[in-house]
Amino acid sequence: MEITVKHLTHIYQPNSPFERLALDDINVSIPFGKFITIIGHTGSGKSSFLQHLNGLLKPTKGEIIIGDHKIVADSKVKDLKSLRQRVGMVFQYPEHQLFEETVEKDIMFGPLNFGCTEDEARRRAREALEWVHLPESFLERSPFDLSGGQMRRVAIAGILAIRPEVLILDEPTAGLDPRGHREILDLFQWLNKEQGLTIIMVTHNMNDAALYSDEVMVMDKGRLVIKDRPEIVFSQRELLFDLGLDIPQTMHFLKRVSDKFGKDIVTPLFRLEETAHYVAQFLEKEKDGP
Amino acid sequence: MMNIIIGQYVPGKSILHHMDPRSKLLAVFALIFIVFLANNWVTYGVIVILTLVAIVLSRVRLRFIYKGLKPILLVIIITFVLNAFFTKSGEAIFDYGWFHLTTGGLQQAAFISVRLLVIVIMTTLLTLTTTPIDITDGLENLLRPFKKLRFPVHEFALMMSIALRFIPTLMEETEKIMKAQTARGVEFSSGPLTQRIKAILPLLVPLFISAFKRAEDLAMAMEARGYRGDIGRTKLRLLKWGLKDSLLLLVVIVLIPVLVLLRG
Amino acid sequence: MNETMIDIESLCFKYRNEDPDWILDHISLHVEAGEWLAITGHNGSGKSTLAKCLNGLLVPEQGSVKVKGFFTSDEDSLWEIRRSVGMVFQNPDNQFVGTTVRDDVAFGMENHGVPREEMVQRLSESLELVGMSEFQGQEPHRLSGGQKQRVAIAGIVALRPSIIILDEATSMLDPRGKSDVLKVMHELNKTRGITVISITHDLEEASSADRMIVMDEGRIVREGTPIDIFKEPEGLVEMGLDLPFTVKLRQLLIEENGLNLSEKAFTEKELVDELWKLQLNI
Ligand SMILES: Nc1ncnc2c1ncn2[C@@H]1O[C@H](COP(=O)(O)OP(=O)(O)OP(=O)(O)O)[C@@H](O)[C@H]1O
Ligand SMILES: Nc1ncnc2c1ncn2[C@@H]1O[C@H](COP(=O)(O)OP(=O)(O)OP(=O)(O)O)[C@@H](O)[C@H]1O
Ligand SMILES: [Mg+2]
Ligand SMILES: [Mg+2]
Repeated sequence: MEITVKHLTHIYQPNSPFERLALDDINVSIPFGKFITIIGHTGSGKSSFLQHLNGLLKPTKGEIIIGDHKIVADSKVKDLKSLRQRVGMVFQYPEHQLFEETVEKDIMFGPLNFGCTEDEARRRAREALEWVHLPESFLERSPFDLSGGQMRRVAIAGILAIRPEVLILDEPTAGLDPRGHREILDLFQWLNKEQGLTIIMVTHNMNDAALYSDEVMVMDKGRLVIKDRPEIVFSQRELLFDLGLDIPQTMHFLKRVSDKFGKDIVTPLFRLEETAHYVAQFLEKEKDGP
Repeated sequence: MMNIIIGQYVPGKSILHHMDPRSKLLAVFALIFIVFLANNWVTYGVIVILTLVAIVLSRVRLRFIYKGLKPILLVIIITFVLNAFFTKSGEAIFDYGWFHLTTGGLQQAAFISVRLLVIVIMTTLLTLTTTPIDITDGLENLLRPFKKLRFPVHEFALMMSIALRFIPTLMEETEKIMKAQTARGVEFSSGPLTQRIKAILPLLVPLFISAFKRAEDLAMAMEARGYRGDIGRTKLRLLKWGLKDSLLLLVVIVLIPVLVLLRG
Repeated sequence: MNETMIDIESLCFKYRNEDPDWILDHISLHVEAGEWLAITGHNGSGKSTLAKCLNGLLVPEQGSVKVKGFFTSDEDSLWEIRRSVGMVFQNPDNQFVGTTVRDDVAFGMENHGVPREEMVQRLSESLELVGMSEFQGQEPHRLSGGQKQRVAIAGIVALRPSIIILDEATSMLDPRGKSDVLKVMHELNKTRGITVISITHDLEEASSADRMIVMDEGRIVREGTPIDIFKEPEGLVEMGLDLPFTVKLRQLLIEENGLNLSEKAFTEKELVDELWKLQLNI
């Protein structure tokens, strides 16, 4: 299920004193099964873009084609529901949308809305809970008695139980401790690699964007500035700094090394092991060289 | 969702914008009663002219005033029709079975509608030219004498200003939760009524929880910044009573004997 | 310089009496004037609870908390304590009290009865300091998260505090918002000698502190300079933490690539300098 976005423009509150151009002529296509991250400073339109992908916002101009669905300015709600089943969306701080008495009921809520039988929904709840690494004993607990990190997982499980083919995530790790952070990202990577989900994730963390994604989309003032492999995006230091963004830590370090040694290291590396190995070899060469 | 502009304040630099909220509050409050003094064409004429002058002075576009009027336009029309057909005095213009239309009836209807219109326009002008927080401040100041009667004036004003501060935030929150639940298959805006009623729970429960959480956080933050009620508090906001404020009140006061004299 | 700011002795706290375990379990801690102290620990380890004990929002069940010589359990000194200890919370939205930037910065000063003329002066001074002077009349819902947090800091600075506590104050911000806030705080720490206690999950941020403590299930389990703490990485990961980038990289350079690096190199710059020396020596 490929996603194609053509000339997408969105204006909030058009024709009022508060009119705001949030998305400006975006063209992009996202092949099935990719892991995409979106970066951009605050207010650049990331969340607005995400909400178009499952019809929560409708374009002011342009169109979005997802598989055999086409969203244009006056799309019908009827068609959108089947789209929303295929494109799952996890909002920022998704724990704020929990409301049922038990974890199980809350996870079943989505599947039931999309027409699953009770039994099927219950089965999916169990499975989704396993995916987010929570024990089955949690099913009977109240979601409001859990820690922040646990609530976050339950909320994500609630979307996974809908069995989307595309998973959209808006800053899913904000406020988690380092372990929670890594575990959640590993989960998305697993869903992408093993379950074949397309993942589209907004993040403020450049390291995550570099490490996990096949491609990075950079947004600024409602426009898509670049969309490319992380190696290419994060080689553009100056551009990223200008846009209020940053480069991953490994790149910062390599830059320091190249400044110190007066050499231009251009190879973009993101994994620690690669970076360490590269630096060791670089040193070796420097010794032999002059 | 965000189209509702609370208090409908329209930023501007007109003389009305620059007036002290207290004088505007007092004037509007007084006018609501003074309007009832009018009872003939001359007195109503005076009041209408005054209203027109106020509109011109506010330099607010008519479109906004119309917006303020729209919700009660129907009420005014109904009032007009009822008065026109049920008041019997003067010459008959039109008579058919149940319906009688008389010149006196028409006049009465016109008067009452104008009265309503004037009251609504005056209050609309007040909110259009005064920020909600200024209105709150003005009210707190005017109500100060009631403190002696143990009316919690300060708390009341603070509550109002916090409500004003958080209305946009809560509206954003509502929108966000609606969207999040829509993504989980809830339909808020279509489907049969029973289904829509069912959709309320997934909206209200998270909304209440988040409102409580906010309230708790806010209380913490206020306490951390040394809030302990009205004790030993100073204020940044100053209300400045100027010449134009005194003038406004003078006009309103002079209006009373003038209307009484011109009354039929 | 070595004046004691905060002195905690064997502090125990729980929210509900029926809870079996302490949420804060025999915490003892000294904080000195001018220090930058980082507090880290897994979700639910008690960091925010500890922070709220520091300005008397919560009072100890056992033990004591003393701020600049005043006990937080003493109702009469709470006032002075709250003026000296400013706190910036995580969610920028839930701590913005005023309807505009000006009103919000003034809120604390109004509470503490600062005379109006002085208030106006301190107001523009502190807005200037955090770089928000142009936004005086703005309403909060037209500001970004980072801007709101800087306004919160301005409101605190205006009270001339001795200590500022940041409770994950940057965790909801984008990279620029985050670095802006931290820059302002470092400035305050350096030039005005304000003591900073920063609660954070970001280990890079914690590594730049003078001293850090690690909390685990309501106890302080590690305390020392960041260098010392990350020298013994054992156990940190099990506690839900991680190691800073440079520490991990150094480990890999030593263990996997056989480089001869000392343990002293802690910042990126130090690590690069060591690499440089390594190359020169042979
Ligand atoms: N419901 C809304 N009504 C009006 N304007 C909005 C609304 N939502 C967003 N905007 C505006 O649209 C622009 C893009 O906002 P968006 O939320 O998409 O940005 P973002 O990149 O997700 O930012 P952040 O990193 O802060 O989440 C901003 O200028 C914002 O003020
Ligand atoms: N108001 C409260 N009432 C009851 N229990 C609470 C309250 N606030 C926190 N707790 C509990 O106290 C413990 C410590 O919470 P605290 O918020 O101090 O952790 P934290 O270290 O700040 O975590 P995080 O990194 O998630 O912010 C947790 O188990 C939490 O569930
Ligand atoms: Mg966003
Ligand atoms: Mg906390």
